[in-house]
Amino acid sequence: MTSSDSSKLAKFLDRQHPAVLNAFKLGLFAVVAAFILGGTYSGTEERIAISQAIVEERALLAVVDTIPVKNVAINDRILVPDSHLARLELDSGESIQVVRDDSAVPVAFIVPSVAPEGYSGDIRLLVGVDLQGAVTGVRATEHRETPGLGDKVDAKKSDWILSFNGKSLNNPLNGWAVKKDGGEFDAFTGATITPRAVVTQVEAVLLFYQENRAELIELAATSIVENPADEIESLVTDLEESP
Amino acid sequence: MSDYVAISRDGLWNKNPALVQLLGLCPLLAVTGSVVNALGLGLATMLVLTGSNIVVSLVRHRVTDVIRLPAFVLIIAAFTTCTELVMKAFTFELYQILGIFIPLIVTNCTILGRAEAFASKNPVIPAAVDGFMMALGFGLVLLALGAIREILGYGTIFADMDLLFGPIAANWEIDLLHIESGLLIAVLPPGAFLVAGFLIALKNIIDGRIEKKRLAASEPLVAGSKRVRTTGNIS
Repeated sequence: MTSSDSSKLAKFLDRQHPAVLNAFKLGLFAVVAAFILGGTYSGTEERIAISQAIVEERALLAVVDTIPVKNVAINDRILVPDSHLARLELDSGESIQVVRDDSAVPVAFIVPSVAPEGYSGDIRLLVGVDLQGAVTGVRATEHRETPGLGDKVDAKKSDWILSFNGKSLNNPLNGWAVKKDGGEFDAFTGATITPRAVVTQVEAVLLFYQENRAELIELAATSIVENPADEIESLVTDLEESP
Repeated sequence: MSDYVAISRDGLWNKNPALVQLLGLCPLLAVTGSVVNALGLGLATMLVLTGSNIVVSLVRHRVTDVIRLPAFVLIIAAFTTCTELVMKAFTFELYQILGIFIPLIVTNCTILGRAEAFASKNPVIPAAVDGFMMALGFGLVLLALGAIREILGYGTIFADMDLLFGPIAANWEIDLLHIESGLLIAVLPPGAFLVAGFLIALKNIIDGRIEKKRLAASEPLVAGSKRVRTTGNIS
């Protein structure tokens, strides 16, 4: 079909069936847009996955900051058994991250958990626990606490969350509450509910760990991971090597 | 050339989307808690607005009146989704903070408004300039709001700029007020309305001054000719 034929056809349609022509044009727009979007998606897909993985890994590494030698491989995880989900306030499918030393012996676990009693709903936490049951670090990864008050749970805003480092169920013994409630932990200015929720949930995680320590260590020893901590690093190197 | 000056002046001042047309207020008020958020959203909006203006202008003779709106929305949505994907790929943490407001750029009335009112009636280059200048006007207001709210609310400026510019920007933060916790209301939604209101008032004051000056400059002529008529009661 030559161009004059097609313009004739367009003119004919325009006169006789304008709706058909309009639908066709709009359809053409949609197809072109779909192709452009598809192209952009496939062009950015890999990069997005890497960015996501890097952010996730950075959050994980932050809670085991105090451990000198560690390998955190994103695929090195233990599924939280259904019976413990309620305890940690999690939905099914959540998993515990295993942290290993250079000879692949587990040195710590990173347990996800949700503090449900935040001032504006759930506060998602990552709690790093070493083999002796001491906290290696806590981070709030998702929260909607009031800016300027409750959002001091965020490590970017305040150092408060670091006060858990090195604490365990025996240290302070019977002190797992904010000072206002007779415990050992400072609350921050203007907000009691947020710290209370976090302290309670970190304690719950430690209790969970204490009860399931043997099982977790055994699971970590038997779960086979080839090249721990390899995945992210290789992704990043690939990215840096590519032009 | 004077056309472009006029277009720019419209976008930046006379018809500023945020201060005069009061369009796109939802993202304007919601994400301007800090400079980095404001800049992120401003740049994303600029990409979409300039791009969609160019494409709308390119296809303006092909699009019939009936399918005009769906076609424009399709173009804008495509640009927004592309921008979203690119932000996700390169500034992932900022994307997480801005969250829903990036896809919501589609519903920013400024963008469809410019496609309708300008790009669909003008050649490509003026349309591109119009899109860019309107977005710049919008972005500058975003930045002003972000800066004022960040200073009042946190006492800092340029915090977390590394989310947008990478590690080199990590120490751009300037602690201006050295306060533990700032004016809480500035960070909360009411603060956005208040600061935006003051900015609009400021613009109106400046406009008033300019108008007064203009009148004052032309006064002798006007006053002189009028005095003859009104005060001449000789009878």
